[in-house]
Amino acid sequence: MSEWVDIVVYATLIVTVWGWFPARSSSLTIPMIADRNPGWLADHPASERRLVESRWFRWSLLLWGLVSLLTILAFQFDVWPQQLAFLRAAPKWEALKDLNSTLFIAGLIYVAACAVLFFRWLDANVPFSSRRQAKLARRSLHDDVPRPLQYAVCAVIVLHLAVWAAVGVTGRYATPAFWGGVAFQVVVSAVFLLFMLSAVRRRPGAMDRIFGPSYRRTEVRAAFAAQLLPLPNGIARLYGQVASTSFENLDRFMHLGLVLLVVALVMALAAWSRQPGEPGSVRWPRSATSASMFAFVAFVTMIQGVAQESPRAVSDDEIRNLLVERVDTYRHSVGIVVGIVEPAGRRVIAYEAGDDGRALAVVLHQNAVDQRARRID
Amino acid sequence: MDIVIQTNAPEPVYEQIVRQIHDAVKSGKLKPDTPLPTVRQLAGDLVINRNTVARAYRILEEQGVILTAGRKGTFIRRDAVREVAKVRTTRAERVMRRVVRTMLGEGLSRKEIADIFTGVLSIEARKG
Repeated sequence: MSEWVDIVVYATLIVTVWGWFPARSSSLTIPMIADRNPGWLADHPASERRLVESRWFRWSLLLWGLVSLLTILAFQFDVWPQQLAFLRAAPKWEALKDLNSTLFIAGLIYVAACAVLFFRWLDANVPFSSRRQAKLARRSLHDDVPRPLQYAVCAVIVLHLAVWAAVGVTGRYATPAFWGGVAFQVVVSAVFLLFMLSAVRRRPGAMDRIFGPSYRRTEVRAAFAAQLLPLPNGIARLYGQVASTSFENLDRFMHLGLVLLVVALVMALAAWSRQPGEPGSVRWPRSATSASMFAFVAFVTMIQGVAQESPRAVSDDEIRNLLVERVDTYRHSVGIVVGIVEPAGRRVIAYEAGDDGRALAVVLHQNAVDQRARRID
Repeated sequence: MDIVIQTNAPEPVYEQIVRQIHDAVKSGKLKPDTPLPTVRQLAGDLVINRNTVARAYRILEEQGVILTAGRKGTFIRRDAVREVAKVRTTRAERVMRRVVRTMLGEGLSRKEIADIFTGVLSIEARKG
């Protein structure tokens, strides 16, 4: 697969997160202050005007998006300084992935720092309204996700982990690396579970009051569904272990799928924040649904791409070990010859039991097959 | 059902919470066995100290209006309506006792106090 696919996906992320989202979400600043203390804005019209007219945050994010895009394109077109040549050591798609992740995380740190400064300014200047309101009802997952669905998803996740553990317990694949994989799956599932619980338990924020109960419901459902995200990766890796094969581009496709999912979520949030109105009046827009569908279809398509990838070429040693097992242990034959045709060329691996019972392993070239066949006869 | 507090009101916040839960139980908005939010959740939602909510819940529990069942959470008791009525009666009696004591101190007789009380009641009844 061309690296241009990666470039397109990363460019979509950059444009969405650093271009589109800030333009949309900046319209929420005033409603957030109004939610905290409606009287404050009326008492401080100059501050309100300054906030409305302020553009530095949006422009700085746009600038960062431009820098990110140009950096990735420069890498793709080999316009790259010698000081950063170490990135070239990895495969190109992996270097692009690392480059994009680094730029993205740096941008997120900048956004987080700005958010901290904004909330500190809020705490210092905008006191909470003396009139406060809350629901006298306990929040729980049952409010937003039907119980049968909870049980079904829980069962799928437990089954997934149980299969990993069962495969390990049977002993055949119980290498330290395999148990490391099991631990990784357990930790990732636990992280997503905690993420979902925090979405359920978090206290209502300005967004909840601006958009009404549908905001929390969507957030909880998205966090609940996110618990299923590690499964495709886990299943593919487990299959790779059991079938002694590996998907070369698995990490690549999984990463691109995750990036597309983030794009879809950001697009949904940005589209949602277009017109904040009365609490509860804003509904999940069609564009957000389309964005989610786009990400889902793209993700599934890429997973199919993974499934169609050719398995890794098996080494001569691995084939020879199989032949030794068939000939010496199971006595299927006195000798076996395996020929492999692959893009890199042809290989022939043969094994026969020696006359004195000593096993002989021989790797033959194509021109030696005829001689070996005649000798067997 | 929403709970609304005024942090700058003369009535303490914990009393506002207690009073509103009483009202909700009496009006039937909070039915028996209804789970209440946790102390942490309600304090977070109202942006007030947890101890304030905990104090309100402790008072309600002492009054027999709510029941804290360990990790299961806090619930409205089955006989909460009766308990709320009892609490209100007790409070009214306390207020009345104070008023009667004051009136007796002013030198009014029991009959005069009873007449005044009947007269005030009929005025309030006319007001609707």
